[in-house]
Amino acid sequence: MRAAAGAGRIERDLLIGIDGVVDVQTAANHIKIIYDTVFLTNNAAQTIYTDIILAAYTPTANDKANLLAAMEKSVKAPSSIPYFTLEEDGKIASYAYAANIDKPV
Amino acid sequence: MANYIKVPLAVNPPRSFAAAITIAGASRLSGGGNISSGTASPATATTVAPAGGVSATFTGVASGTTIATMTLTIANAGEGYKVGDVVTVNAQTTGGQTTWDAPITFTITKADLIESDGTVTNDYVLIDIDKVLCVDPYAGAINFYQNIPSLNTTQTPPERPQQLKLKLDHPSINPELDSAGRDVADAMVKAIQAPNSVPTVVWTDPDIEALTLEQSA
Repeated sequence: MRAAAGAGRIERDLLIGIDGVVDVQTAANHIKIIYDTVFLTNNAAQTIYTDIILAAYTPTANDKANLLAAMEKSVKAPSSIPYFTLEEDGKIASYAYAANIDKPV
Repeated sequence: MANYIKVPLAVNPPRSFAAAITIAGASRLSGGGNISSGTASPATATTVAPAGGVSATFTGVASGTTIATMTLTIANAGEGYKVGDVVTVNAQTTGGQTTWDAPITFTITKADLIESDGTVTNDYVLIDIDKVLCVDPYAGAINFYQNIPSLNTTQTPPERPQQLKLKLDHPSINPELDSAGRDVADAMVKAIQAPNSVPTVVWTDPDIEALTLEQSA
């Protein structure tokens, strides 16, 4: 799946891996895509997530629905790399990175 | 099966001096004229031949009166230096610390400069994109976050996704780093759409040079 990124800078495709996604969470300035990764040592309560950073934007319910729809398209046609777009016209992500997060319960 | 993109590595690209490097002794240094021992000199300007490198400065400390006792330490890393360049450190006669009244010269070795893995026979790296979650250009590198659990014991909690850092060099890294991020994304799209075609990353900005690929948590 991909989204446009680089708000205010040079725009580029933001490619997001969706294998093993167990949850998608939204919050002000963030879309969190959570994976089923297992840490074999130390902390079984943690997993990995990709944090899509949105400057001054709170994702809507429609944004989350659009993201899930793009994931579904990607699963059905893996090489199609469908685009995910935000509901607000012209709004794009700033960047994304991955880190650790509590497993969703 | 893994699906790769190919990233060309620069071969002996012009680059900065490494952080905190020292160059010492008669085997590396020559010249200096009359040397007086003392505490570290002020940062002293340099020239280089052939022309290209700029802005590197060094402090000098001597424990005796011969060039064999002199140690130069990088003060400003500069930019644009290559292995084999000959650096000349100007004379430094400011009293009260180590002084030398004639230029000191040395030839740059690979270890003096920031790391660069590219050689004539090793001029690319392959990056497996199958487990890449996202790619983030920052801090002079293209960072590939992978869905592979790793540990970074310097952070709390230590669990992290494994990270591949493709370190780049450019005279002015931002926003050119964003441009490099776009070039990598373009190659990844090609690899996903044509698995195992191993597309090569083509830098839009010809001044971008890939130096190393490091694995970290």
